[in-house]
Amino acid sequence: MKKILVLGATSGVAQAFCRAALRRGYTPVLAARSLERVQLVARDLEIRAGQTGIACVEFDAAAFDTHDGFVRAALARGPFAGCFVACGAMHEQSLAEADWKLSREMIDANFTGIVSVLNRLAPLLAAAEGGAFISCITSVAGDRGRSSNFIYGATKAGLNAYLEGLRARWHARGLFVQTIKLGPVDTPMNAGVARTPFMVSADVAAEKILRALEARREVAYVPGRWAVIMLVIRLLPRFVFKRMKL
Amino acid sequence: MTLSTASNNSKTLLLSGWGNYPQASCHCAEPVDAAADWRDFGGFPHLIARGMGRSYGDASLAPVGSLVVATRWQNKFLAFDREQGLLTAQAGVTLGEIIDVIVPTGWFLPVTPGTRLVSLGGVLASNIHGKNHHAAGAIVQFVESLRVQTESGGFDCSRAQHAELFFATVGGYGLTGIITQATLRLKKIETAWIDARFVKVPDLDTAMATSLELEKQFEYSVVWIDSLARGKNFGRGIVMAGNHAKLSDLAGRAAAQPLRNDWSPPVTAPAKFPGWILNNATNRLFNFAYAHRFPGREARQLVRFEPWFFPLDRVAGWNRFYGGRGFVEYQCALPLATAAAGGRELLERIARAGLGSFLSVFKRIGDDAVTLPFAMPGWTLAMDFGIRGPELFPVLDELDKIVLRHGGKIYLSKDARLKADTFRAMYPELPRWRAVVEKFNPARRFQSRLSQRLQL
Repeated sequence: MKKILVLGATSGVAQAFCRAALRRGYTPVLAARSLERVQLVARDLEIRAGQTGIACVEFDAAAFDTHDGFVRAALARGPFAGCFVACGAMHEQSLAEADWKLSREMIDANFTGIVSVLNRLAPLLAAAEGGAFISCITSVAGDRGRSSNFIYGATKAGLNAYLEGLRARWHARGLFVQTIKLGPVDTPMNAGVARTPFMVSADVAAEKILRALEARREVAYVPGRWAVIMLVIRLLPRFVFKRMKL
Repeated sequence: MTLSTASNNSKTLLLSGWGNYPQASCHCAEPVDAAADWRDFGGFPHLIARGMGRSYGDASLAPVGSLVVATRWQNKFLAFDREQGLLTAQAGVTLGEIIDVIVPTGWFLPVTPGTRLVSLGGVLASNIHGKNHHAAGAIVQFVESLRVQTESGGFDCSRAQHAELFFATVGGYGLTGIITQATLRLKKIETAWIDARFVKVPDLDTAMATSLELEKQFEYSVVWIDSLARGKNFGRGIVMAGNHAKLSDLAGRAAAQPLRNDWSPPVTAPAKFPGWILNNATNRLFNFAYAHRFPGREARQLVRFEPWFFPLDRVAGWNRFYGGRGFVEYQCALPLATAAAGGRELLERIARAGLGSFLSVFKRIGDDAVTLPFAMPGWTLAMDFGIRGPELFPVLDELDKIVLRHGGKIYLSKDARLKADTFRAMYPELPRWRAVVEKFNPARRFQSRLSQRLQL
């Protein structure tokens, strides 16, 4: 039974990822901040998949000093084929600008916390037989600092650079590191945001993520159309970009 | 990890029911935790829950300045007892998701509506009926228990506990509070197939007689009527009856995997579809083709349960075929004694007005156990009318009068235009139901455009 450790397992994308992974014969081990909520998710996944024994571990990305203990507790539930990282937070730019707590929350959940936990996990996963993977969700918002969303974008840009380095660091040891640049997905994270034209459902996103994982694509835009859109946006010269309301 | 602060943000959306009429700008919240109760949404005069937005009219639209509470993220299965066939889920889980879970284990929905894309909460609030209503009753017969958040707090109710709230909430259109979870008693099946019989009938009387005859041997029965046929073909249709196929009915590949769930992603209707394409001529063509879909007078077929129960689910967004102005679904119940005369009068009035319904369905119904019941021992007629102009509505008002005169009722989950006084005359049970609602909700915080329009 191939197991995947899922960080941020109560997120909409993570739940859809777990459903799709279960259909492919993987068993997820769920890690999230609220044990009560993640146990609800585990029960739901068990009923949908018609199996039992989906384990849960408490994990708070922002509680860095608990991460040693978390990694020990999680790995005791292994061995793992890999780790899927879906934790993250998003607050509206104007609110985050005005309230450092909200900025800090995004930085910790999207960047610092993930660096802290992957620093500890990567060597252990790299030691696993048969080549484990780390697949981590970042965002198209990390490709450029847009005025409407750049604090969130900056956390994701930092994460992109970290993952690129992590890949280079461990690639010789057989650890596969994947960067998933996700476009907007219809999940509770976007509940305060009106549906955008390119928004996809979490199930569609999860299916594409698993396909990218199976195809061993190091960097994947999900859905793929974002590769084209972001190429154009990255090519915009700065003097144009800074005047655009993006 | 999703932050709770994001979950209670409300946004303003232009919403409508499945008929795309009426449309209303509503504040909309999408709470993540089922524990969130109505007090978290302060500042709005009224609240109404909304699941998949599949009621046709305004049952899931909030009154002006009020809040729609979407249940779409409360989509967790909570328990499934495969021995007893008991399933507990949060209100936002859809029947389609339930089917995906239960069919491979040999269980089925005890009552199945015409689409799998409805939420459990919506199913209860509308007390949905299916092709087996005459024998099995509506979904209320199979609800073991439910939890509802009222103004006075959350209540677990069942036949044994807070029974009055239970029977006012099922078929209560969300007006007793927000249904957060429910337990259904499922029914056992041997296969995912339906052993179906199709019989062509020349007129309404024959349709009714044939239907009554077939319901002795068949669990499910329904009559499709060609509402556009005129002259000697007036009232022609096809009686369709079916049973869940037994294992012994299957052969070959189907028998090897009798419970295989065969759902394939549907085709999607174009986002913008000109309403004029669905006119009387194309309508007639469709109905003609449907009337002649098999040679001879009778056919027996083994069909999958998906096309049998959910033929329209194959096209996602089929409601858009009616164009931007939308359509009105008209469903009435008529008592046994007057159904033949009433049904005939309705069809004649519709024909005289030059209206055509794309899909007209006539079916037997039985008693209804809820406090505000729609069904009665008799028949129900369901039709859809594309809105091409204002001239439709006076005709529908006349249909209401015919229904009322024959002791019938209009189904509120499909309604978008009934008048309050007609409604009151049709539903003498209203005061009793309202007394229960007010007992648990003295301030009547849970209201919709439907409840305000009909002064429910």
